[in-house]
Amino acid sequence: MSRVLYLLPLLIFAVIAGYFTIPILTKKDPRLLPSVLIDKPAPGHDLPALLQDKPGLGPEDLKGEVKLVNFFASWCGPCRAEHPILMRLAAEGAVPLVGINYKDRPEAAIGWLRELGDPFGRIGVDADGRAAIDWGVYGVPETYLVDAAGHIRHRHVGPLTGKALNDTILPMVEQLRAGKG
Amino acid sequence: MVFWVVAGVLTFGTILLLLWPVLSAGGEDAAEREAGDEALAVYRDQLSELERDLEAGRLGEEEFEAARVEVQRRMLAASAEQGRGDGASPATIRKRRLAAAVLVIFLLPAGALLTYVGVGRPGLPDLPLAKRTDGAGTTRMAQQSQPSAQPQQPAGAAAQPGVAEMVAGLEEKLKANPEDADGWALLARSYMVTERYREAVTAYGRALAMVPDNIQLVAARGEALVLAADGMVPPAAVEDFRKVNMAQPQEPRSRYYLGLARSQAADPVGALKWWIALEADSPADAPWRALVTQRIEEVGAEAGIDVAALRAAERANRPASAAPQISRAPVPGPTEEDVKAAGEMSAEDRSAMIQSMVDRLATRLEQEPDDLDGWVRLARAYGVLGRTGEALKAHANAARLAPDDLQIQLDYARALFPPGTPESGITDEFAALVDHIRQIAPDSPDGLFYGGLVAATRGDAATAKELWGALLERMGPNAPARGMLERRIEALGG
Amino acid sequence: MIRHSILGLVLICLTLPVLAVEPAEMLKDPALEARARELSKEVRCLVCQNQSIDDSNAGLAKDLRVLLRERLVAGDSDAEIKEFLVERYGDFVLLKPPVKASTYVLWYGPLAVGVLGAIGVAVFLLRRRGGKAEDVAPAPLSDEEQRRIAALLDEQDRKA
Repeated sequence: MSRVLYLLPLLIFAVIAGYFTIPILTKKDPRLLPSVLIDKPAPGHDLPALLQDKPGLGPEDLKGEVKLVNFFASWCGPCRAEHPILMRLAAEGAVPLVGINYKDRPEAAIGWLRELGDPFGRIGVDADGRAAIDWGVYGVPETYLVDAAGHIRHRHVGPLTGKALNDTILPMVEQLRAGKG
Repeated sequence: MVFWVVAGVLTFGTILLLLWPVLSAGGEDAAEREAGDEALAVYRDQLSELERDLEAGRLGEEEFEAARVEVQRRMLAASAEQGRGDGASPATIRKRRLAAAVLVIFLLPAGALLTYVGVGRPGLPDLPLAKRTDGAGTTRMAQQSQPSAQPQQPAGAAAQPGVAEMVAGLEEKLKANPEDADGWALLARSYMVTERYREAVTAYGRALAMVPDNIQLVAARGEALVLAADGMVPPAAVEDFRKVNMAQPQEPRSRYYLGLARSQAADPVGALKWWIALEADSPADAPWRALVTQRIEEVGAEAGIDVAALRAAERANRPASAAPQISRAPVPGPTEEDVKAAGEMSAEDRSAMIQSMVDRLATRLEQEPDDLDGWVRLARAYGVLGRTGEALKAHANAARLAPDDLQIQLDYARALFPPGTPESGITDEFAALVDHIRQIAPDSPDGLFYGGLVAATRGDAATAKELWGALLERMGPNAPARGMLERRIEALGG
Repeated sequence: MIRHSILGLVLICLTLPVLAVEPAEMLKDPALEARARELSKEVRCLVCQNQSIDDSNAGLAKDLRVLLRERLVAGDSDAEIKEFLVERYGDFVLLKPPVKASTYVLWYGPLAVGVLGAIGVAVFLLRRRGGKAEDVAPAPLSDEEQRRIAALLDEQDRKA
């Protein structure tokens, strides 16, 4: 009995150590936090258009179909890394993309899209970052899955990856489309 | 090496710290035992004293009995403590100590080593503070990813004091004589050495405006675009590499980067297709081979794809005799990409210099409208500048002057039917031109493709199928356009 | 890439926070500004995560500081402002999380561990004293104990 008691501190240590180690070993990023806005209506903002020939973003524009809303900026390195994935989504017509250009110089953003391609159906300009705060954005890039009713259903922090896309986002898109008919 | 010495010293120190209590416990124990003996002696004295007290009548029988039991119990407790409570003999205790020491001496370093082998990365280079910026890191990665056998360039202009002056001199010279394609190419290479990738892109564009068919330059600009984009493969670079790949299907750099573009677009299957074919075509001693193999393993592992099976399929797919097929004749086939690459060059060349050059050329051609070479150059220049309407007119003039020159006729066709045009945009003029091309070169892949396109839009599925089928036969088994063509044929229906 | 950006963020956060609040951001009304300062000490900079927005130079922290002051000027109470932020960023945005069912472990966990420890120590001490207190009613030794006493005395005799 008493020996088991002697082992107790070791046991407690092992439990605590395991609690802190497992997320590291499983590569879970401790910075990732669930959005509190999941299943809530996406914030409606009137965001001016970035490009002359492409509409901006009005409060009603997020409704109607399942879509991805991507916050990006030309000064943001990880945005560059995820851009080919967005281009591919656009080329395949997998899901409509809405861009929100976060705290950027318009000419820099336009040049950036010209260099890397423009996958977005609409691009709104969030010059002062206020819209991003309403979306709960920490930093670009962030991507939100918005359903046909205009509700946020999923939030992806950081650059999109093939894994996130294939394992989570695209299946959710299918599910939402099937669910809503 | 230093790392292992330091790690060894640290491990040794840790073992010492852990062994200390185990080993020194032996000495303590002896002292404890002695103290215990003393205590026993004291209790013993107390017992004799109690007996004397009883004899002298200072204690009653009951009191004596109670006191004696108390002292005896204390003796027992003391002796139990001496034996560590479980009555283990000194021999067993020694054995246990030995076992603990052995465990510490062997298990600790073994566990540390195993963990390190699993998690650690001994080959990881230092990342000095000066290098810790996004740009520096990715630039270096991009440089390492170059499958070409180019010697590693020293980083930064500072490393090469001569280069800065050379660049300045070249810039001067080109200001005076902007039509020097070799000069622009040299300047572009110098920019690459000094890591001014964006300027290198522009300079390569200048050179290419004058010699658009120089595949080496197209490949070099593609690479400059990649480096300017921090190792990402932007659409413009993809276009360049596709053009290279069309002209020289075996060229490794373009194949590597086209695979990289797929990988960056989260399409591991597409990336592996490019890379496994490239790996199979690469001689065992090719300098890029190790890199390609490594990327295949990485991407395969990340996506959970069995690359061994893909490799086997690739081997089974090609004739046993032609292992590294560097000598296989390139099979040029027209593709969407090819058409696109030919149609729109980089948009970065809008400089006053080219404008004036073009204007001069255009004025001269108004007076000498029979200068075929002039029209060809003007058409290309307009194409680069994005003045498509004027480019089309120049192409038409060139085509008028050289009715039997296949290349010029094809260029005209591409100008008439630029990439991205919906098929409804096919005009009678274009159809007539395609007929003409088919007459002068019945086997031309481009002619076959366009002929099929015209037939398909006119509802003549049989002819379209025949022409595209003939084209398909001419294509190599790995031609990137194959899939596109097969889809088109399928879309024609039964 | 991600690692680089995280590193960058960390470096941003490591820069001296002395002058995080820029003079241009400050409110003219000293009382309101004091409230803003107090409030922003309780709001987490979500980029740095272990700094308050009052200490952080990150862009988002600055945006949140400005937003917070705007709402103060508009007449919001401290609680209303906190609620506004929690609606968007969750409880995590508050450096001091609220006491509610899902945070009981956080708030009372250490206390519980302390109480458990104290109980353990108390039991240990009582037991020890209990062992000594037996002499009030000494039970006679068992045969086994008698034998061991005899053996001990013998051993001592031999050593002496």
